Amino acid sequence: MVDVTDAQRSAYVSQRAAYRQGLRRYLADEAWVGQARSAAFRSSEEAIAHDATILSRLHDAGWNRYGWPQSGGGFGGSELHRATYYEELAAAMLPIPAQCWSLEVLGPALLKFAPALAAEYLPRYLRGAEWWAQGFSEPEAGSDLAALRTRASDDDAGGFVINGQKIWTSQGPTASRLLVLARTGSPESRHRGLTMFLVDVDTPGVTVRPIMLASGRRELAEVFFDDVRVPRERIVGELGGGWSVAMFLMQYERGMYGYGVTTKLLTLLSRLRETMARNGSESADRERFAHVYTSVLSAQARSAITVRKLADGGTLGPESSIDKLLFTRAEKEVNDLILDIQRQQMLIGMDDVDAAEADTSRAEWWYSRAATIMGGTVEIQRGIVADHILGLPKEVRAQ
Amino acid sequence: MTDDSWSMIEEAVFRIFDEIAGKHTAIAPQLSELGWSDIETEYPIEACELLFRAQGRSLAQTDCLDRVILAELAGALGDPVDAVVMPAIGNRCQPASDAEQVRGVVLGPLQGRVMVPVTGPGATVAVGIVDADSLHGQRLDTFDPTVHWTRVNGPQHGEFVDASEAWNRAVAAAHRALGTELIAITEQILAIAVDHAKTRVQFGTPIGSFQSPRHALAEACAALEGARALMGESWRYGGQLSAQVAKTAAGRAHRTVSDTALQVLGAIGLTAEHQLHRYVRRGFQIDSLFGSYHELETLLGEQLFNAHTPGEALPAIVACG
Repeated sequence: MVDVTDAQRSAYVSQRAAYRQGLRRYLADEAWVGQARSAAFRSSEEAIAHDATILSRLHDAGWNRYGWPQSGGGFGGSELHRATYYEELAAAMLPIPAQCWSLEVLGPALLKFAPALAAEYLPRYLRGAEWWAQGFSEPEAGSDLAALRTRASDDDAGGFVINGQKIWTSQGPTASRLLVLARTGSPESRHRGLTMFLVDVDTPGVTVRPIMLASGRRELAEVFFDDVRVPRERIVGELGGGWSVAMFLMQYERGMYGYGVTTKLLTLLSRLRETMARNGSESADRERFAHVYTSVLSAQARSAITVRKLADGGTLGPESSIDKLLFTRAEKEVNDLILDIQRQQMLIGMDDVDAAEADTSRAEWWYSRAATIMGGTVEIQRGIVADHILGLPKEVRAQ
Repeated sequence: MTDDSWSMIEEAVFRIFDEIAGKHTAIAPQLSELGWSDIETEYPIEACELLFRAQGRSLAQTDCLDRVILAELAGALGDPVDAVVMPAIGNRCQPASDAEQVRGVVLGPLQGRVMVPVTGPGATVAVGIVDADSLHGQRLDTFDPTVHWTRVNGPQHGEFVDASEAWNRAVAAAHRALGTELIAITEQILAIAVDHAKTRVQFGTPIGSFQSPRHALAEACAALEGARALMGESWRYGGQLSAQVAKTAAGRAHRTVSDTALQVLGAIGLTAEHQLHRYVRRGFQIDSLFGSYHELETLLGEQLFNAHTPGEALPAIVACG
């Protein structure tokens, strides 16, 4: 590994083209890249542990620290550096380390609303030494998030006691901290009475129960809180200001996360093209491939506009729901294409395909079904577009 | 670049196109009155984009596409010409003429001197100039009957000069122009459907407050915005493949949004008296030039697999910064 000098580092911060070239050279030269390209595991725990080693390599070489402020363990630069990083992973046909998904969603919110916590913990996140999960949804509060009931009560000693339950927490089984949205106001206070907390999973009273998906993978978890004591310093943002933290975070869930998804889809398509070229393909499949590729590019172009806006310090409004409609649909289309082209492997396995690889493809197909459910279902996104972009009259609801 | 002077230019261009809608028009006189050559020099990309946006929203028919193509081929052609023989419909973006025969489509009536692109060996393209009088022209029976397109054929004569690279640039410019026009047409279709959903009352409430039309319109909006974004990238960074996929996405978006609008409007949307069909029809017509979305997807499938080297990622069309 060639050491990067301080002068080079500052050039990478100020000139993204140089950063791109440097990263591209690094990925072309490193021996581990070939192996990482096709690494496959039988469980999400093994897969995410492997991804942590990839992050730590990238961190040692510095490449995933651009685009994050120095106060959070980065080298500086903007969201555009992070977008370039994802683009270059796709150009090298490398999967995105799984930790990046939650990092892109949670990291910016912590930096903005809890800089002291970010300074303490974000550097470890970037190195792959820890990762966090989002504790928003509850059994009775899915699309209707403001109905959540997990309660954080004042413990009269300066801290809070959390009681309740979260569910559908992505990466919950392996995460070491949780960003928890809890009710500090009255039960009827809806979105006004909520506060965001950063809670360590090893705090007494926290129980994580992995949820096995149809694929057999423990991708999600439910989390129980029984008298979990959380110090006041673990509030992210203002007391009662949890909703605005969640809304800020959503911008990144639509923007950076969405952009990352589109680059991941390009990697999946590049790999599928290799398989199709090797095994031969029907012209109808090649046409469908071209169609799906075009959908991914449309979603990517749309997300690029959003990322540029975030990098300029802009605020995303309801228009980011359009991004989400596009990239979640593209994610399903790509995984459906993979399933249809690789039917043999997906349905009955193949002698020359590693069992872990087949299992991973199946797991990815199942997880891609969640694309249009998590982080606000497509139904919610369509409603937002109908109300705020198209200006249609309010929906008539069942009484 | 969104200063006041630009919005005045925009309004003026929209006005011109509204005035000429209905009859195929050579636009040079109107544009020169606006001082177009200065505007083009100052805003080369925005000016071109604006013409096709104006054309799409007004449904005007002009020689703007000929101008865009000729601008790329100006170096190869010594003399001025009036029109371009476009690739025949169904022939993707490949000229249908060869060294012996002229074949293709002229937008508008056949007159003056026309530039003929010719497909040569190994997918090379040469261009020559032919006098319209020596060609046979027949008005096409188009899906949109208001469109005046002429099928041309006849013998080749005269000189050809090789223009393969310039032709490829011209195709990309045409894809961007046509895709932009399609997006503008599609925008009108969506606006008509949204307007209808706000005003049409059934069961005592505007139908736009029922979930299924709301969701259908939201998805239509997303399809349109995805295509618009991809077209924006193409204008921003250029490139042939990016222009091709952006036009493909625009054609797809036109189909998707048209289907939604035709459903949301109910029977009135199928009538001659309602304006919706004008935009639906025109979109189909514009999509068919330089390769329909379907033809271009087939072409892209061939490009992606014929030129594939193992270990190479798909081409990067979009880049964030």
